[in-house]
Amino acid sequence: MSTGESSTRPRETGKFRAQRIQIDYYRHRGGLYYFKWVLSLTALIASAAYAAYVLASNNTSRHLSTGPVAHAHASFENDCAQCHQDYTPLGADSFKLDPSASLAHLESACQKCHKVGNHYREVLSGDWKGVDQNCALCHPDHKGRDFNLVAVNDTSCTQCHSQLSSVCSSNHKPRVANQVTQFTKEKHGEFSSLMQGDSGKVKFDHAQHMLVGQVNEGEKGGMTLAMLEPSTRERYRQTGQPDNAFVTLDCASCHEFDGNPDPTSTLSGDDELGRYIAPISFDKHCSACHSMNPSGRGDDTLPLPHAAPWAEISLLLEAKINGSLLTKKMRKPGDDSQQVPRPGEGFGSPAKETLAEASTVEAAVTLVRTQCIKCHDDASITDQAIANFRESTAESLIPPRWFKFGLYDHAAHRKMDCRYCHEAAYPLDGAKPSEAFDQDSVMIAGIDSCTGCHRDISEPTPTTLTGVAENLVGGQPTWASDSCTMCHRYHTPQSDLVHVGGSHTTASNSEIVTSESTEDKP
Amino acid sequence: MVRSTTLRLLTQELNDCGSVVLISRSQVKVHIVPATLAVLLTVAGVGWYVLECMAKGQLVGGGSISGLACGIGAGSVIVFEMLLWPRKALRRLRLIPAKYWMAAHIWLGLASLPLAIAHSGFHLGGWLPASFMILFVLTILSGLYGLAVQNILPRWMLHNLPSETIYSQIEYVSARTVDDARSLLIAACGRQRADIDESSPDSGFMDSVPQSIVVGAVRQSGKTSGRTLETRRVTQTRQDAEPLWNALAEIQPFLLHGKSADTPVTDRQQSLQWFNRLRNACSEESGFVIDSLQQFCDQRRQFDVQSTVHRWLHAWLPVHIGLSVAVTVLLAVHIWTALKYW
Repeated sequence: MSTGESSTRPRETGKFRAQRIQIDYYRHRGGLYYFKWVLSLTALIASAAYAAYVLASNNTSRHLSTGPVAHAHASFENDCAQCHQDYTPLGADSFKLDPSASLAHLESACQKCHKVGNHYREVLSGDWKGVDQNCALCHPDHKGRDFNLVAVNDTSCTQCHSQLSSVCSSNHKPRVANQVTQFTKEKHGEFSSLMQGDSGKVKFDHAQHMLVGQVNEGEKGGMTLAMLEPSTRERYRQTGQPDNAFVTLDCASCHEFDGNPDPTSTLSGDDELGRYIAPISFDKHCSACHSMNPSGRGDDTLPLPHAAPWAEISLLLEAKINGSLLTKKMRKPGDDSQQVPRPGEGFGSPAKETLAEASTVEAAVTLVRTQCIKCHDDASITDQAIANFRESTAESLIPPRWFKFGLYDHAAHRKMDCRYCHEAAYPLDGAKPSEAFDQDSVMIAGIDSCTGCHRDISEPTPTTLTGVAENLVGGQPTWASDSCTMCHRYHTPQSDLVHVGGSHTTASNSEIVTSESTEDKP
Repeated sequence: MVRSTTLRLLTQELNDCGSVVLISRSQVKVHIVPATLAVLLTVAGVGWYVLECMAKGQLVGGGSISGLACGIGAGSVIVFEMLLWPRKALRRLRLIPAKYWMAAHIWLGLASLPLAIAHSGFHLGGWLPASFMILFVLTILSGLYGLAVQNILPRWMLHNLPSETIYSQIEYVSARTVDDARSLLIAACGRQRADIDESSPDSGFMDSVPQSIVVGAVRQSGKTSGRTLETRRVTQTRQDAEPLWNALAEIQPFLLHGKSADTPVTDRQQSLQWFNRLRNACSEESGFVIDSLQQFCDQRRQFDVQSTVHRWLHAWLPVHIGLSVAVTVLLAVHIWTALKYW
């Protein structure tokens, strides 16, 4: 500042100002400048060294993996090539430049160990085939060591089953509900068995057999333990019952826990004891009371084999009759000097024919046929039908599973009263049993019996369930998961076996479920 | 003028070291375009990702279409962010003005974080993607810290450190201040006896001294103040020559080295007391000289504060750059390995 007050006063010249700051100050590099370069070089070297280590390391998965693989796959976690192929997207939702190649590789990688079939891929349309082929969609790995690979989200199922008609190809009509979005009757539909009914091939009266002595109250002729084969009496004897006591059956008398009756199934845990009920066997469950023999019960009884060809039955009957005549245990027609049981009659099934007619083979065969007809229809006892039945792959006349597309775990529900789901199998209290209707009725409860407990967790316990919980539910919790995978399995048993029209065959894809008559294993 | 000069110097210095961008109403035009672009990019990428997650009922990964798009977006932004380095190296080419470049650097950098998180599918993954993500987040945080301090501290310095100078010139200016103090004392009291004995053995106290002297000082111009030159009238105070020269000798280490020197004026409170005692010991005519010495001490004290603030203001940048370099390297490795083990 110059005021001009004095000639001796110096002025603030530009030189003065310039001297206050070094003219080349900007050339001076401070510590921060060098610190910047040191840090930058350090970061560059360190990151490059780490990158080189990762790429050169044998244990790349620890560095590159998006997450630990599940326990089941942990043994080959460090061997990425077991599943991955270079530059081939495998992720469930990965963007794939060549979807067919990626999905084919993914499927083949999984099927190195998991020999499972597809899910009706042949009837799927367009990109939905790829959805079925995309194993990782339902089983995504690298989600952590404890991740449950088989806990499939419901949306994995409903993404297709909520719009099944568009998922299936145009020439295939879905055999199950078109829109399934939740486990309720409205959004899932009734069980297909209830919709289609019983095939009615075996006549049987559950209510009659549940009665004491298998006769109506007050009627005579009830079955007693003494009337059974001695070897089978203990099986049907209730605690403390004498031989003259009436046979009293319960559900477990004929229905036993078993594994999956489907021999082709390889589903995990599916063959565990108790998941299913063993198929009814004549020899095991019926013959004690309904023994097929032409001469009744006795020490020399000749039981006829069940489901034997008629030629074999005739031969056995002829041999028995001839033997009886020779040993004087049977007399010719007209000779009524001795009372003997008539051939062709079983216990509890008095023959209508005369003794004279039964003395001939033809008459005996007729009597046996009459006995067959009590449970079977005519079409089921022809030589051809019997021959078919004797095939190892033949279907049981009584469906071993009534859930055609779903599973039911009897063991998990063992505390429940059988009546909760099979009410129709029990006799009506105080009422005379009606004509047998079992062959015309599927004797399982509808979906409403399940949705009470198997419901969305946000829904309260239905009032209808609280009243019956103690008696019928056996004190079990009244909530259970309604997840799709509780009852349904996705994969067909084997990739190369399909089930067409009741027989297993190695069929081309085009042959599979293109017909309305084609049906999954019941 | 003082303010604009100071701010210009500060801005220039910041630009030399790294970058500075002010976020204020006056800078709306600079920020509006990149900010809008960043918001659109984020909403589009994350929105797409959310929609795909909702459609599939689960969090989709980085390989999904939307996840991949988010990853490509975030990766592209990282590459763009690193282009700031060659942009600064090639500033002579006068590419896009630095303030626009910096605004885009900030806003797109912020947009890259949600995109990267969406791309990750909310999983850190293995060590490489985890370290990549952690370093990336640290880079963003260091940048946010830098953005915050660059918008707060310069304004604070402008109002609280009127004596601030160029950081690298603090020592030089401090030495000049000592020269000013010495000149002031010579003008007021004549040379110190020891100096006379050594430099002018044939003369006593100077008989002729300048009536006024030009020294560095803080001056007010309007509402702001800044450091510049000032011509001061000098009062002859020869009777206090000895205590004043002794005072200068005591405060000189502080003027040269700041708070690291152990002097009576290093502490502000002790300094007030010390100068009061000095005033009492000297005549009233020496008050002008003592005031000047006290101003020099206050100036040096501000230099010390400026040094500390300077480190806060700039030390983040080497960290930010170092992290950015590491992120860029890991990005390249991540792209290659992710494509290989897709």
